[in-house]
Amino acid sequence: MSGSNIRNFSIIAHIDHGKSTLADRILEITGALSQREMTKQVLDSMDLEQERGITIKAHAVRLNYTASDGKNYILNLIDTPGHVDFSYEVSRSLASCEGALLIVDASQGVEAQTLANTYLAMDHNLEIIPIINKIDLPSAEPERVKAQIEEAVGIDCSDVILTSAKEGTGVHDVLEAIVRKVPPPAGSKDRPLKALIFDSWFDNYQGVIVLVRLFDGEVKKGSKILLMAVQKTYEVLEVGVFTPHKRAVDSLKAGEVGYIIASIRNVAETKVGDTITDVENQATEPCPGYKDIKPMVFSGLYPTETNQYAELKDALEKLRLNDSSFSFEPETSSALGFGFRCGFLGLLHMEIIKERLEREFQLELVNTAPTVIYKVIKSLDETVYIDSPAKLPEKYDSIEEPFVKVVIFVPQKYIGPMLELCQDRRGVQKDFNYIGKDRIIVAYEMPLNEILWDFYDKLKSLSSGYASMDYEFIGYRESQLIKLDLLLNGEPVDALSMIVHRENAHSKGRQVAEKLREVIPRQMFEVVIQAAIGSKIIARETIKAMRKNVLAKCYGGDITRKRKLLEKQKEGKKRMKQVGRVEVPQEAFLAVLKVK
Amino acid sequence: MAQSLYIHIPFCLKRCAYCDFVSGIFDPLKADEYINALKKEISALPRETEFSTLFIGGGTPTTLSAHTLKDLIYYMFSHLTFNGSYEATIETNPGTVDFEKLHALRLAGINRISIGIQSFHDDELAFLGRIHTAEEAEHAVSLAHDAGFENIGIDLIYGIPGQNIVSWRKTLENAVRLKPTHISAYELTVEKGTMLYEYLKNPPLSPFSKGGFIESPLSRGNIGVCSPLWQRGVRGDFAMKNISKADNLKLLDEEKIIEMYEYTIDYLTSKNYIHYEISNFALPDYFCKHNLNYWDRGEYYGAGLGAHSFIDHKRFYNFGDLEFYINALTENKSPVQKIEQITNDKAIAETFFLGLRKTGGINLKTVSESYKQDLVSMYQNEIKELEEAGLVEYNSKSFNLRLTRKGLLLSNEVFTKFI
Repeated sequence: MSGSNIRNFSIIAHIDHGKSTLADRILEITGALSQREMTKQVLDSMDLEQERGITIKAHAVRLNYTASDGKNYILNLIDTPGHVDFSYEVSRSLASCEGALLIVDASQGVEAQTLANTYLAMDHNLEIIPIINKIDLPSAEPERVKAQIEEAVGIDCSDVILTSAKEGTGVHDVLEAIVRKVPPPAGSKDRPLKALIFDSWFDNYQGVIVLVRLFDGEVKKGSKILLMAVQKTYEVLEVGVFTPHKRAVDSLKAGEVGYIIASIRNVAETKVGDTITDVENQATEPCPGYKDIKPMVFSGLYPTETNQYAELKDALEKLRLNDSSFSFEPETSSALGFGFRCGFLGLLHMEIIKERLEREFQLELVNTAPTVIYKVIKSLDETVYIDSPAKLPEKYDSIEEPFVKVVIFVPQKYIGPMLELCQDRRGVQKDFNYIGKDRIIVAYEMPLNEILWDFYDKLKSLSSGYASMDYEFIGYRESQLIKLDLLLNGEPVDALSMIVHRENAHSKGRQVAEKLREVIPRQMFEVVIQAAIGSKIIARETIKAMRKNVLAKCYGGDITRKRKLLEKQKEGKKRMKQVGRVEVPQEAFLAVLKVK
Repeated sequence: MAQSLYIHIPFCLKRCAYCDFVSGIFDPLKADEYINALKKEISALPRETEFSTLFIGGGTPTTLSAHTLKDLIYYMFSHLTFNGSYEATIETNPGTVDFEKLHALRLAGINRISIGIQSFHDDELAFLGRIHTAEEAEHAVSLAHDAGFENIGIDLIYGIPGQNIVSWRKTLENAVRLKPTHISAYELTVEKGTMLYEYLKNPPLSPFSKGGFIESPLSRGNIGVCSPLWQRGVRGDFAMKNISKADNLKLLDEEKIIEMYEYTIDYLTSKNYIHYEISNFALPDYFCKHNLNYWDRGEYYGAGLGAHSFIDHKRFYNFGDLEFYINALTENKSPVQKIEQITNDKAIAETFFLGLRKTGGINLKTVSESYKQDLVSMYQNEIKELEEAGLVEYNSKSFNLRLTRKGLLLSNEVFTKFI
């Protein structure tokens, strides 16, 4: 089959605009899966993804489609992760395509991610096919949304496709448009092999499976390949495609999308964005756009029970087999004992990893407040990067922190509280534009640290769920930052230290101390909580000693019940972390985030 | 070790606001059916077991007529074996006794009476939903004396919303003046499903100052005639609607409760009562043998609705639904609802949290021997920690472990170390 019959495309959409449902319909109509095999949203195969309704790992599916022109086509659907934390992975998936379906919800309209992803697609010169989905909803306003897309995104919507993926309406039109509008892949199988890695994962039986898009050349069993960025060579054991069932093929050629298995043991070696070429006949240059993607957000992960350290290490190693985008290294906290400093792409990524550790490996974990990497200028010629407040040197010239550009979409009526929120978070407005009559797009530059925890939730709640956002890293900038320490009964608790802006330090210290007083239960002795900057105490709270915990009555009928009650109390204590003599519940370590 | 028998009578004239025991409103026809079923269950108990204590509890056993009670007690004594120095207690509510009934009980062989007085303040009694006044309570004690009871225990409650240390002192003084052999003083606890629980969960809206005291949770709904419910607690029959006025009342502060408890210990011990268990006081030689048996993990049979037993390392209990119970016995089936095997670990945990309730504590050497585990070294860190916190005293010579005064109030903190 020649390259002219191939169409490689992605679907881009804001979360919940119906990407997965449309993908399911396409799979169903092209007969890739029988009705029986159709579980809802096949492509989102991880439990967590299904629960959260988002896509984490990219997948690629090869579909056969006979178009109305009577010809047979191969459609490669390359799924993209749907969250801002994974924007680099999205960009690599898009780089593997010639076209993209842009789905916009017929009642919600354009959102921040719609825009961010569309710009990414435009950067890669993709043919963009606009689709207005969920037209079955009573609140659907396709005309308004059409105008919005034209105005905000700048895409011609004269032949926009109206669909209801849920009901199957318009899906045939989508497939026809893919065939008609998306250009066939260029490239030649006679040129040296050049394949872009856009996803990889670890399989217990076959090692690492790499998903690639071939731009030039051919790869087959026995080929000797070179991974250009990491400079490692392997021999190919198997190539194939997902239909979505895994199926080995003889070879993959220029323009095609498929998988390569080459007894690679470690996903860290198959970096998304890297280029695979032939050892003997190397491509002159790799695919453009490769970045060594680095974690942005760091947090300490500690076992609640110290004897689970080895298990935690084991579990982290296993998870990393499948996810090279997070990092971990051993860390010791005087308060929490032995644990790991872990780096993540973003907060969602952190939550997913933590949840998987707890769920799949039955670990009880304490995680410390997430932090960004600070750049500490110690002197003119010495700069260090720290991923934990505990690592801040005693003396330094200045501190720089990562800044991001945050783009927010919000209906006009919520603009007041939205601007206030950004202002509170040290944001500097860079852009303010109307889209249509009632929607506004604003851009802010602000410290990454300020959007780490609850920014998105706050934004959602102040806008009754209507606001949406996207962010990108723009660089390090100097800020007036200082370290705030928290002490329990006079002892500083390193796991509670944080780096804060000088202006907020006092109020933050007070609020965290208050919050800790609320979440730390009464102990057998008085607990004094202090917040300090250097040696200066700026806030103090006291938790009075517990004086009474007694069951007034216990007779013959009650014994089992009373035993269970005591067992429950015991269980509650077990889940706490002993810091010095004080039993501190998990949530206390995140208390720093719960304050304004 | 003592072998005990508990008999449950699940009838009351009215349910008290705080009560979550298995009981319902007295109905003579139902009561007859119940007594027949109960006799059947009793007849199935082993005749050769020599019981040393009997406790007829409820509910309110004395809602039954003198005749019914006499008949039931004769039945027990004729079908079962009791040793020569047995202790046989019956629980009463002062609103359900007269001389004839008490006299009949005494003659039938009951030698100890436990009178639920709770308070000597009528406003507090009303709040709790008790059916008697302070005066009637006092009268009940003298009736019991007259009827020949020498061993009289009274129950009191502190921590009642609206109560203060002064009123509690007065209650204690009144109690001591009546010269009971035994005083139980319980902190009011709020159990789920009780009217009190509902009351505190949804406090009435407008303040109320009539007579300086509060309206009872009972007076707010049509509870006086609440439907017979033989399950734990009450359900939706606590009408929240027709509440017009009541104080927005909460449970007392912990500090006040502690003050009341500490005062109770100081006062009663100064009056020669021995503080022998967290909530129990008695004159020398008048400790309640039946209850001591629970804390010593002795075996006991329980007969009647929802009654619990502990025999041969198993704890089990009967159905708590009256119809279920009666039907089971009518059809000659076992009324047992659930059996739990007490493993060695559970037994050790029980030994600590039951045994340490007694102020005399437990002997770790004896306990270690009976469970074939060296508990002294097993728990050496915990004991040390608790000693340092001032919650227990351990005598390494006599192996005696017991709660300190501070430890009494924090006993759950101690017990959880041994669970």
